[in-house]
This record gives sequence, structure tokens and C-alpha cells, in this order.
Amino acid sequence: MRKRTQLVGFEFGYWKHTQYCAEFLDNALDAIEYYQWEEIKKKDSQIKYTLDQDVNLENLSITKKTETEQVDQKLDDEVKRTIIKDFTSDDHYKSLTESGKKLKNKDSSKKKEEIEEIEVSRIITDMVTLLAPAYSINIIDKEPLVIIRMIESEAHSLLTGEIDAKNVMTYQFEIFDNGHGMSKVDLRKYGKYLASSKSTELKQTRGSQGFGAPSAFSDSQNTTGRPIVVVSKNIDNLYASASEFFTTSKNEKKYAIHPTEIDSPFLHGTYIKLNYLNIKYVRGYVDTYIQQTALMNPHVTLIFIDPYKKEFIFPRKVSSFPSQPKYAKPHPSSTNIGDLQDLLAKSDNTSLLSFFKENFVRMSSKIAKEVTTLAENDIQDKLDIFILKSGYINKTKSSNEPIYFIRNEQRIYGKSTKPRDKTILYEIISDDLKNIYWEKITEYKKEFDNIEKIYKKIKLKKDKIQNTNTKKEINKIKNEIQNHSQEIEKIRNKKEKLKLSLDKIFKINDPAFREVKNKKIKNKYIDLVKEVKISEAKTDILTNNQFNSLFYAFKSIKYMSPPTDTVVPVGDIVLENTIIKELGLRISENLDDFGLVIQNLIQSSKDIIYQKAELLKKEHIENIKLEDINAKDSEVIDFNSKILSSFYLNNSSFEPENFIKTVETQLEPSNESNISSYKEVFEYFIDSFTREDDFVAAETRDPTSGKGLAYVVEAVMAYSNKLGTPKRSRDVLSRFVNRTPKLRDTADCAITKAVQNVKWKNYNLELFENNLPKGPIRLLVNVSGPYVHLMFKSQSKNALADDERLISEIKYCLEAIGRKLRIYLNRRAKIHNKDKRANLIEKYIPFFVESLYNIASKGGKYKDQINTKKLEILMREAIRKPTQPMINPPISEIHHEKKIEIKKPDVEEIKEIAIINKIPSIERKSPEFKQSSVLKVEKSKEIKRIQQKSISPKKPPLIQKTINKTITRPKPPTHIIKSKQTKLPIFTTEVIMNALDNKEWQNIKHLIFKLRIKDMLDARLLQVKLKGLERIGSVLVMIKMGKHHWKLK
Amino acid sequence: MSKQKSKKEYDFKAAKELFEEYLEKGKKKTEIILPKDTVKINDLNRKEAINRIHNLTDELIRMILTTGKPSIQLPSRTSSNIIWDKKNDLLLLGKQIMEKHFHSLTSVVDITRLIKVLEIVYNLLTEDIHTSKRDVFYNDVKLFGKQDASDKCIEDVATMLYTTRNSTRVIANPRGGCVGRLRIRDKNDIIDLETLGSGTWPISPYLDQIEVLESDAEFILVIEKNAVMMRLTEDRFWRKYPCILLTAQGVGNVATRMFLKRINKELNLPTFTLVDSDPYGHYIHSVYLRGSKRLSYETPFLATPNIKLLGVLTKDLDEYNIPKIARLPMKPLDVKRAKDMLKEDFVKNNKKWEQDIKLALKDKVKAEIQALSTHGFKFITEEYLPKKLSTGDWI
Repeated sequence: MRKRTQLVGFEFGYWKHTQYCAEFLDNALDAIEYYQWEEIKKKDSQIKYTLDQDVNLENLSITKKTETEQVDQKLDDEVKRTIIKDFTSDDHYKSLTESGKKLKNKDSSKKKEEIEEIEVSRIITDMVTLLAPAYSINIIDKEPLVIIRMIESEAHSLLTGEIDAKNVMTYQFEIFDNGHGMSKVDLRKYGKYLASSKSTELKQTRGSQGFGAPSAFSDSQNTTGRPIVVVSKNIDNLYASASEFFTTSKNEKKYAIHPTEIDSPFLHGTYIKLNYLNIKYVRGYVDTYIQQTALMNPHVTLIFIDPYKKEFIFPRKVSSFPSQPKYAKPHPSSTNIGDLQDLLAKSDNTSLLSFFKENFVRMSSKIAKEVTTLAENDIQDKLDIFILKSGYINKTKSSNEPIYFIRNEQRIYGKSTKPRDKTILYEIISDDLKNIYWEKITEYKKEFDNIEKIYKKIKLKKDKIQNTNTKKEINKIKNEIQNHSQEIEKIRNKKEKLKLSLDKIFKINDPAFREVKNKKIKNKYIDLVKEVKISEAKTDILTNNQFNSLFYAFKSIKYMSPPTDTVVPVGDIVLENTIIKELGLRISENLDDFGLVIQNLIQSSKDIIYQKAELLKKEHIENIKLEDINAKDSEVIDFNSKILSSFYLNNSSFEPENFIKTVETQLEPSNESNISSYKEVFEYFIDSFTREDDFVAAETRDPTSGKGLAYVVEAVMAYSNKLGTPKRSRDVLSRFVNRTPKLRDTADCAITKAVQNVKWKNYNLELFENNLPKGPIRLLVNVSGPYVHLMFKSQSKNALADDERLISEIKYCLEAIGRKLRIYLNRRAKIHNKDKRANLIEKYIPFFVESLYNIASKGGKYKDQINTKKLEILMREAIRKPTQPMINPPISEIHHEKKIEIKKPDVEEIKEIAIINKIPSIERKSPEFKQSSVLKVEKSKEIKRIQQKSISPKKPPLIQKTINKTITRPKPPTHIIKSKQTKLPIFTTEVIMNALDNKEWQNIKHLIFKLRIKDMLDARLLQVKLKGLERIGSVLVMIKMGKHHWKLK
Repeated sequence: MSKQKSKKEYDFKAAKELFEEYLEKGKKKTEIILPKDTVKINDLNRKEAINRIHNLTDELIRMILTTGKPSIQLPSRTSSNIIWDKKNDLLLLGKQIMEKHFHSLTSVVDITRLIKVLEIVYNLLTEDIHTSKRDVFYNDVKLFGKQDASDKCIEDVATMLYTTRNSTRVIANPRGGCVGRLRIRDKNDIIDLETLGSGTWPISPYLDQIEVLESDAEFILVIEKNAVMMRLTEDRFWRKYPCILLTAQGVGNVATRMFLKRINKELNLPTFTLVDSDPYGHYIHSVYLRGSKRLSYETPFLATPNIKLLGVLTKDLDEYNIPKIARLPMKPLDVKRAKDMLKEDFVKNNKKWEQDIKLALKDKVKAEIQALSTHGFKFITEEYLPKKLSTGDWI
């Protein structure tokens, strides 16, 4: 008989700590995301997370606070803990109450209350110490936050014989998240084993099994015998609900403290605390898990305090929250027989057709009909009844058996006058018909046997495929199998034709039939007929045969791939930014300003000519020579004006003269040398500014589907000398599925196999012995999709199942990253070589100059004019310059602050201005005007940077990327968020003091009623105000059963 | 009792005729037109060399001041760019130029070395001293690494300045002696090569210090072996027959060859070699004739194209009745060398020489000069040489 712990997969070991963490962390993240998505749905929610500003957690330290607070509370806690340590079993609380009974001779109920109150206050203080720092810097309601803490303590009194005494400790595991929180209904269910909720509607969520948390609870109880504490608050409730319970073997909850309402420092969220036994905590498992989770979930702040009091804080790194993935209905090709049964049992649909249409994706009515007809065909062969157009006929095995024909007819029965539908059974008498019938049936049987033969052949060939090695042969055999399938199709068609012919015969001949009145036979055949007609069957009463045929038909049809909008990847930009911040990589900011080198620069006049040529080609005019087409000056002006006018101009006072002036001074038509030096400038920039950059590249593939599962693959790689080459190959790759890290079963996983299959040598990376890439890199791969439980290899859900499609997707993703890496590494090697060369050359300069000087100083032209230093400097400079590109004319007067800031008018306005003023300076230089003047702007911007050699953090308003874009309309004014309340509540101290009483203690519910507060936010505000008053000292406070009560002084 | 041999008086007729011929030739002054875009390579005196160096450095500094990237232009020393006019004995350098840049990883070290050697040469010139190749290398071991590098640079510097290596004041070690009717001034000392006692004047490599004053010799004799030289010296051979005797003690080294060329050119005298009768001796002659196989930049200055092989020829062995016992069998190396000689152009153009080598290959025997001593120690000086010189029995 296996122990309960083994059944649910929690074993003593280093991994157990991570299992606890993983289980609850998954749930916490899901809760947070769910909360935000719900709030976003409500348009004007003011309580959703605000992610705009950066989280500043530099001064946050929970351990410090706890240490300071511990000093105050030390005595109380010690007392409590000594009591707890002495008890070993579930009955700890009972004995507590018992001892309480013995000690004091008062009412047992009152004792119970007091003890419960002590317990509740203990829960609260523990929770508050954990949350106080977050509360004090005011992030607890605004930032998505998860706090996990583990405390280690001695376990000697809880050990059984089989657990080794030395290494085992008790761990108190606390987790807090400010997600959605649980409503009271959910709280009641929480802790019980639930059926998996994934079979009806599927969503891309993290949760692994549906029974993870309860198994953790049972493990905790079994090893330590202590109850589980849960405090949870929903936004709809004013108070949080705290409870302490045990789960029993009957799948019920036994409360040590019933759900009590308490004040909570958080607006919404869940807090769970439990204890478990395990071997001594070792760093490297749980903290790795949390760190990797933080990498893939940068929209959440994670705080983890390990048993050795070290804090790991991972602040939120992005200001965007991932979007909610859509619900997905199951896809037929990934539904198995059990799922289909479940769905049938749960559905409300009466007819099969509607069942299929509503419960599956990619199931239209046409396909549903196909399924049912195929099922019917299959079941006909099984039950030996044919469905004909006019009725049904049975299939006899020998010519002596009676042939029955069944038909629906209108008959009058009993006392009624109207005819009703009835099924009538006839027996065929005439021999002629019998003979004809028998002929057809034998033919039919023949065809049936043929099909069977072909199926056998196909099977043989499939077995053959297993044994052959060459691809050619395999393909050959596959072709043969396809041919066989086509034959089968033909035979099926023949069968249908036979049936039709039977139908024709039996339509007409009435006298050959004799009605059968034997009830037994009649009923038998009526039932058979009902069974055969699957299309009219009801979903809740399918027989076994029907179901099997249905399933067979269901599976044999080819369906369209499932829709891919059910997956939400993390996104490549988010991944890049996260990993840059997390690893502290150095990435040059200016690259964004520059973008990529444009390969083909052409003059505007040439572009106009090309466009004209295209137009002419469309009109099928042949023999177009580009030389014959001309671009008129006016056309060029138009073209250039459109480009210029598409820049966003930022000056409120727009004056045409100013515009012309700036155009004259800042813009110049560029000539050939400028165009050719464009690339040089770019190269120079890359050389000078980005030489020490690290590398980061992320790639998110488009969502695809395979075998009915939609998924998306993404990966990010960071390359930096700072990271250092890891010694173990497993430190290179981090795998994620649906944003949860998978730390185990690395070698089995499909992701690892895909990484091993990529030829990393092509991308300038070395390999470990197991073909993983070796280098100062970190690689993260994430596969997201809604069908979690079908993607995994085993129940432990740590390794993805091998799937050709999946592996090739991951490979493509990694190869795209590899290509970028190769460019980066080549560039770095080039720079490295240049530096090496420069160093070598520099080494020899002093010798050269010395010898030269010794000769030249004694005679010759330059006898007194030179000195060694000057020569050395000149020669040294000559090395460094990658020939600074010379651009005509030399620009010396450009000031740093001068930016072209002009308002953005319509196209026509610009055109008019251009035409009216005729941009006279450009006209004057008209022979050169035909070149694009945009280039010049680019160059001036670049030269500014080169000459100043300081990287300005601001982006100038001229953006190259807006070329050829249409003018965007100005943004509509943002609408003001209206508040729900019609009256603004005035919570002055006066009002509050008036509401309070100096005789009775009132809690917040009373006050809310008195002040007629309707909004949750206002209630919060009231609470805050009351706290303020308490601090000042104008009101008295008493805490009873976790709730605050106030009274005037 | 010494036999009184009839001392035949040899009149050195042939040699004298040749001498006259050269004299006539020397009187004619032919106009030499240099081909286009070529520069004549010749020795420079100190002042000129210093000037040229200054020109070079000025150009370099100008380059640094304008672009910061100096480069040196070296004339190319490939065979297509060197023209050696044998008839007029001119060495010309064409216009192909190799440019060595400083700011190029491949040539930064070369150019630094070049400049260093230029500096060294300049210092030598200004201080008016000479040094050897090895000393140049030791001047900056770190920069040069191996002596090959510094040797190459010395050659390059000579090319840069369009001059001979000698003018760069980096000289080779001398090994050889000279004696005879020649008077030279060597660094303010007047040396009469007749009055040197029983020894010879060791050839000085500082050819720029040497000034040929006067000579009344009628031919120059280059001797392979020092022993034979001593014999001739002892006999005061030049008193009987006005000549200059020279030995390099084996293969002629650079200093000896340069000196030989110097006096050959200046005095315009016929030159003969006396070598062993074996392929190696022929080789030594060829070195004098044409320089070593590799036509390097310097060899034209070291070759005397009009040198004649006097002895010992293979046919002399029979003519002068050298006993067979005195002849040695050829070793395989000798055979190989003889065969290689046959392939050479200068042998092919010289029928007599070809015949001689073939004859040697036929019998496969060789003999040394001293084999002539079988007929007596004075045979060489009293009979062999005079007879040969009179009859014109040379190749």
C-alpha cells in the first residue's frame, strides 16, 4: 500500500522545496494575471495595477524589518513557539485547548474563543511582518507582487524512525500574492481534490495538475501535523477571510480556526502558510527556479527569502502586462476517447450535430455531418443493417435466413383518428427478390473482404517501414500505402452504389413483402434500427457500438489546423529588455537611433523614373528605356515635399520664414560623394561606439499548430564576456513551458533535443560533449500554448514530448538567433583583429621614429623642424583612424541644440509653401537639386554625433523611419475617466468623528452603513483615514477577532 | 748537384698580345646609352651616400607630416628588373618598385628594420668606419631576431640608395692575398706589393680606402691554392714576367673578388686562373667568371667576365706527362659536379671548356696543381706557366 505522499509525488529531497515553490508560485502568478485581466475588462477601473513607473526596491528589505520587529515582539513569540514545539500530532490544538481548560476554570467556550483569538492574532502578525515593508512603500496594491518566505527550524520531535535525524528540518513556507484572491465559495473548496478544470475550456495557463495544492497540503500535514493557514481577500469583500484547517482522507476540511473576517493590509490577494519536513535546504534549486521565473515574467515583482535569511528581490522590469489569451475549444485531432466521453457526458446538446459544432473548434456543420455519416456507415457493417433511402434492410449471412425490410409508415392505431408514424417490419417472400438480393449481398461481401485484404497489406507495409533505413524506400512504401488508400475509397464507393441499387429494387415491390407481427423480432429490429441511425441519436444515451463508430469516424477525418490566436507569447522585445536588465548587459543605446543601413540609396529623381516605368509596364507598353523617361523638376519638388512634410514637427508657433531659413541652413542637396560616404559613416559609427557591446537577440516565431495543438516558440540568447563560459552544459540552457521554468529531465525534453540538433559551429560557437553550445552565453527557450497536459512526456510535466513539428520550430527560432549572433561575432573578431594590428604597429613606432630622427636631425630639409614626439603622434593617429569619412562641405557651424522643430501641417500646406516660396536657395543650386535632400539631414545628424563625441540621450524629432508613411492624424483628446459616484464623498475628520460614538465600539461595517459609502475605494479611504486618526490619537482602537473597532475618546 | 736545365726563355707572346688588345680597347671610349627608366648602380663616395640618405629621410618625413603613413619605395631586385650589361660591364636597375608601408601588418617590421639599418649605415658613413654584417646584427638583436633579417636589410638599403653594398660601409671578411707589380695607397699608406718580404699583402675589404696608384703588370694570375702562391712568391715570379698574383685560398670570397674586379677594371689587364684539374676547380673559375649560381644583386660587382681559365686543364695532364699515379680517381660528387657544369650556359658557349670537361668525365680522373711538381718543384714557374702563357693555351 503506497503512502499518500508517494502517491502525490512529494518525496524527501532537494527537489521537494522547489515543488512546493513551483506549485504555489504558479497559482499565484495565475491569480495576478487573472486579476489584471478582469480589471482591464472594466474600462474605468482604478484599482488595476499601474505599471508605468519603475519599481524602486532598493530600500526594501523584509529581513531587516523582521529583525527590528522581532526585538519588540520577542517575548510573545517565544512563549508561543515553546508551546508549539512540544506537540507532535494533529491534536496539538486540541491539547492546547485542553490544557487551557485545565489551567483555568472558566467557560470552555470562552477559553476556546480566547485561544482562537490568540491564534488569529498570531496569524496576522506573521503575515503583517512579511508584508509590512511592501505596505510601507505603498506598492502592495499597485504592483503585482509575490512574496515567498521559508523559515527553517528544528524538527527533532516530529521524526519517525525511517527519516534520518541529522539532515531533516522543518520548513515554514509562506507565500503572498496580491492577485485576485478567493471568494468565500472558492475558499471553501480550496484544499480539496478537484477534478481537472481543463477539459471544458482550455486556456494558456500555467497550472500543472488540478490537484497540486491539496497534495502539498496533505504532504505538509503528514510530515509535520500542522494545519494550513490561508488568508484571502477579494475586492468584493471588505474583510479578508482567515482560516486554519486540516484536510482529511475523506476529502473534507477540518477547521482548526473557522473562516474569520479580519482586517487586511492588502486590498486583494492570498496568503498561505504551511510547514513541511524535508532535508536541509541547499541553495541552487529554489532560488534558481525563482530567478528563472522572474526572467520569463518580468511584469511581476518577486521577492524570495530563503531559510538563511538571504533576500532575492526581482523587481518588475517591464511596463506592459501580457494580454489575455483567448479560450480555446478542443481540437478534434487532439481529443482522445476519454475526453470525448467526458464531453458527451457533460454537454447539454441533444443532437450530435449541435454537440460537435459547439464543443470543438474547426467543426462546421458540414464536417459534423460527414462524421455522422461515416459513423453510420461503420455501424451498418457492424450491426448488419443497411440504411436505404426508403427504409432499412438487414444483411443476411446465408441465403436461407429471412430478409427483413423495415420502414416507417403512417398507420392508425388504437382509438385515434389521425395516422401516426410507426416502424413496420416486413419479410421478403418472393424468391426472385431473394435471389436478386442475394446476388447483391454476395457482391457486397466480396468488396468488404477486399477492403480487409487491403488493410492487411497496409499494415504489413507499415511494419516494413520500421525496418527500412533509406528515405527512398520509405517514400516508396508510403506511396504504395497511399495507392491502397485510394483503392479503399473506390471500393467504398462501390459499396454505396450497391446499396443504392438495393434501394431501387425494394422501393417498388409491395406484394413481395409480408408484414411481420411477431413482437420479439419486431422489437429487436426496431432497436437495431434506432442504433444504426446515429445521426438522430441523443448524446446522453449512446450505446457502446454507436460510440465506438462515432469515435472512429471522428478520428478519421482530416481537420483544419486550430486557430492560433489562443497563444500569447512573451514577445521578443520584452525578452530582450528583461535579460538586458537582469544580467546587466551593455547594449549601446544609439543603435536604435540609427536603425539598419539602407542598402540602396537612390536619388529622388531616379525613384520617380522607376515609378513611371512601373506604371508604363502595367499599361503594357513595351520597349521602355529608362533613359527616355525624365523626371521633371516639379515632380521632384513634389516628391521631396511629401517626404519632408511627413516629419513630425514640434513647434507651436509655425512661421513659414523660419521654415525656409532652417531648410536653407540645415538641408542641402547631397551629391555623389555624400551618397557613397553614407555607408562609411555608418561603419565608422559602429566601430567607434559599439565596439564593446554585448549581444542580445530574441526571436518569437509565429504561432503554429500541430496535432491539434496551437503553440508558439520563442527564444532569447545573450552573449557577453561578463557571463563567463559555464562549466556544466546545463547552465547554458533554461527551458520554459508557458512561462514556468522546467528544471528537471533536461535530457529527455524536446527543447534540449532541438538545441542539440542546431549546428552551432556555423554560428561560431563551440560545443559541449552533449552538443549543447559552449560559450559565454545564456539561452532561454519558451514554448507557450493552451494544451498543457498533452505536450508533456510524463506526469511530472518537466519534459516536452518529442514532436517533429515542435523540434523544427524551435530549430528555426534558434537558427534565426544564430545568424544574428554570427554577424555580431564576426564584427567583434574584425574589431579585435584591427586592435591587434593597431597594437602591433604602435609597438614599432618609437623605433622607427627614433632612427628617422637620428638621421634627419643631422641634415636634410627638416633638420630643425621636427621632433620625435610630433612624428610619433602623427603616426599613431594614422593607425586609429579608420579613415574618417570626408564629407563635403565640411560642417562646422552646426550647434548641438538646433533641431528642426516645426509644427506638422497638412500636405497641401507644405506643398503650397514649397511652391510659393519655391525654396529659392534650392532653385539656385538647381543643377544639383535632383538629388535627394533627405540624406543630408541624416548626415548632419550623424556628424553631429561624431564631432561632439558625446552621446545625447534624447532622440531628435527627425526620425528616418517616417519616410514614406502617410501623415498620421493628430491624436484624439483622451477622454476623462468618469467616477461612478455622483456625489463626491467628503471624509473630513469632522464627518468621521461625528459618525463615531464614544460609548460603543464600532467596526468598519457600521461606519460604512452610517456614512452611506457605496464604493469599495471609498471604504478603503475611510480605513486609511481612521488609521491616520488613530495615529494622531483622536480615536481609540481595539482589535477584536482580527477586526478593528473604533471609539471616540 | 743540380742539373743545369736549359732555361728556355719564354716570351709570353700570347699574354702580351692579349694585353695589347685590352690596351687598345681601353683607349676607345664608347658612348653608352642607358636604356630608358634605368638607374646605373655604382659605388658612391661618402658625401654622395650621405646626401642620398638625407633625400630618403626627407621624403619619409614629408609623408608623415601629410598623411602620417610613411612608406619606403624599394626597387625590385627580381631578375626581370636587373639588367647586367656584360659587354660594357654595367649594372642597371629597372623601374619596378616594391612599396613597403608602415601601417600594414605585413611590412611594419620590415620597414622598421630598414630604417634601423639606414641609420646604422648613416652612422658608419658619418663616422667614416666600416663594419661587418654580424656587427650590424648585434647592433639591435631584438629588432632583427636572426642575422638573416639584418643581412637582407643591408642589401635592401644598398638597393634603396642605388649603390653597391660596399658603399654602405658594411663589408665582408677578407681572406686572400695579393702580391706583384702593383702599388696602392691604402688609407694614406703607400703599399708596394713587390716589397712585402716573403709573404703577401692580405686583401683589405675596405675598397673605398684603396686607391690604385700604378702598375706595370701585364696580366693578373688568380691562384686557387695558397701553397702554389707561396711557391710563386718565393720564386719572385713577377720579376720575370710582369704580373700580379692573387689568391683567395679556395673559392673566391667577396672581398677577393671585389678586389680582383677592381684591379681588373682599372688596370684593364688580362686575368687568368690557375686551379686544380678537377670539377671543383672549374667551379671556382666559374665563380670568378660569373659569380655564384644565384644571380643576386651584388654578384655583378664581383664577377670578372673576361677571366680566362689557364690551368690545370685536363688535357694538360697528358700534354705535360703527369704520371697516372699522380692522378686521382673522381668521386661521385665530382662526377655530379662535372655533369652540372656541362649544363651551364657559359660552358656550353665555350667549346674548349666543354671538351675539357668531357675529357675529364671520360677518364674520370682528376689532379691537383701540385701534381705538376712531379716534374720538379720549379716546373710550374719555369716551364708550365710560361709555356702556357706564351702559347695562349687557355680557355
